[in-house]
Amino acid sequence: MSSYIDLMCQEVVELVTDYLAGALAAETMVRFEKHLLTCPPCTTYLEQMKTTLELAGGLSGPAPAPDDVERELLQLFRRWHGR
Amino acid sequence: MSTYKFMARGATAPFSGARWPEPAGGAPGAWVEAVGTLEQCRCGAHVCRPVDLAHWLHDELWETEVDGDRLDGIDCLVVRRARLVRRIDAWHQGGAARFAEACAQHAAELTGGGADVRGFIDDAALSAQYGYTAVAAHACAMAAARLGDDEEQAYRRERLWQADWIVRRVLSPGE
Repeated sequence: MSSYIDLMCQEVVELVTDYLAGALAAETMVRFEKHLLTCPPCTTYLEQMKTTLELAGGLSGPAPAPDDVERELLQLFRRWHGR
Repeated sequence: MSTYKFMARGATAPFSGARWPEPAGGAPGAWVEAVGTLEQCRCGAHVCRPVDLAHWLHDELWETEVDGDRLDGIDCLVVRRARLVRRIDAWHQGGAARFAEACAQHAAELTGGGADVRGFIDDAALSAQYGYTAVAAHACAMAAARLGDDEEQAYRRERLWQADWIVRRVLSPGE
């Protein structure tokens, strides 16, 4: 596709993850960034995605170990079933 | 060749969010230098040649100095190192607003404002009125694109007219 043609907002939404990962081809990235310059809502959306990814990346609490969860659930189930 | 860079407020690169060192005490800002193989959007300092200006409109317009190897990019120049020489205050002190109005007027005259381009022309006028310079200029180029058999050529011709306006009216108004 010609590099002058602007992306549609829907395409920007579909490409935003690849854009943030630096995975777009140069021509697509140019069209993506030109779209941002002329579309404040898509710029806001991109900023929200960046913030979400940064916050998600900062989550440091350990996830429950699946084995522990399974054991606890089985114990609960057996207690309940044994009533 | 003179080179330029459009920035968000505070000499901030619009996409990376990096703040470029500003000139101080009459000296240019520090060099911003890339390490690795130059590649558009990935590695290198990205600046505008005069003909590229209309593609990257933003809050501040800076004159830049470049050095080292370079690569012709899509509507830009990718260079090994660049630095900010001076902010062109005429851009944010009324130049951008006059530019948007000029774009809207030119596109309306060029296209005749027919039904197939009316939406673009109206968008351009409204965007110019509310200070969305890049949106206005883009809408005008899209309106112009509808005119020719070759849409891309017509689009680029309008972008060149816009770039030329910036050069004549903002960068060298006294000449």
